[in-house]
Amino acid sequence: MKTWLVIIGLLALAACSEHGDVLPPIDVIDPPTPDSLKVETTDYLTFHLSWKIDDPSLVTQYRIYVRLDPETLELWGTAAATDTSVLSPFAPVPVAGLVWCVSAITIENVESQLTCGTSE
Amino acid sequence: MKWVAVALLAAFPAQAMAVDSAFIRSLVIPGSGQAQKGHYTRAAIYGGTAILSGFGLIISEVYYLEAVDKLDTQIDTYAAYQETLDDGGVVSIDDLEETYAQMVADHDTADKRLAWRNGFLIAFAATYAVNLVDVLISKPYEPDHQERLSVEAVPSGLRITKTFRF
Repeated sequence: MKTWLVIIGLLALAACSEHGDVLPPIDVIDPPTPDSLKVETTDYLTFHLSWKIDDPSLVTQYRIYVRLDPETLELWGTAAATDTSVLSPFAPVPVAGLVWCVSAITIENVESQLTCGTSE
Repeated sequence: MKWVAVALLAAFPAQAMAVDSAFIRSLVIPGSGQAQKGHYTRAAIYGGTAILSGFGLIISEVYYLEAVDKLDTQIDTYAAYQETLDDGGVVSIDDLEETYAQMVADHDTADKRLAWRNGFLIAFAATYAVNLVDVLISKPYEPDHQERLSVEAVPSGLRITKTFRF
């Protein structure tokens, strides 16, 4: 008898349980994505990156990433303008075909999508 | 409390309120009280429905709690993004959008599973309640000495009669 009362009580408790509600969306400005990324190098040790951005007034800095392997994208540095020079992570060994990516960080600290490119 | 007891006594005949052994049986196992009173078909219906709805209730509760866990994880992650932004940290727009979309999807899933869980809960509770009311108001089966299976001759041939009791 007591067992059934416990079971019924648990069922009543379960009936009262409700899940949480969806949080309101975080109100941020959609960050502009860098585009037309150009990667230039002469020695495959130092790479010059340049790109374009639609609304630079929203951007405080850019992040530079390098792809070390198909699954690892490593933050390699930052830039304040739309061009910068970076040293290869494999220096002093020259490596061709390195993939570099750039994102923009807005004044609200929201990072844009990445734009990637590689040196020929 | 006294008025509740008076109201219950007024609502049901004294005979129906008498707590007999069949009622206790149905309280423990739905349908067993009906079986004791000789109503085997009804006993099978109550017992089977209680087992099915009870099993469905347990399964749907497990699935619902699983969905709630996933939803809570997404809510916590999204709240953490807001805290990171408030603290001056950087959050990716991809992470924000993917987490929000996943949180909405998980909330919809939890809503659907809650509806299933509540459906089984109502079915189980209703079966239990009807089973108890039925065992209270039903009288023990009294055979009327009528043959349950009979064969009689009619002008066009033979008539086979099968009698069912519920």
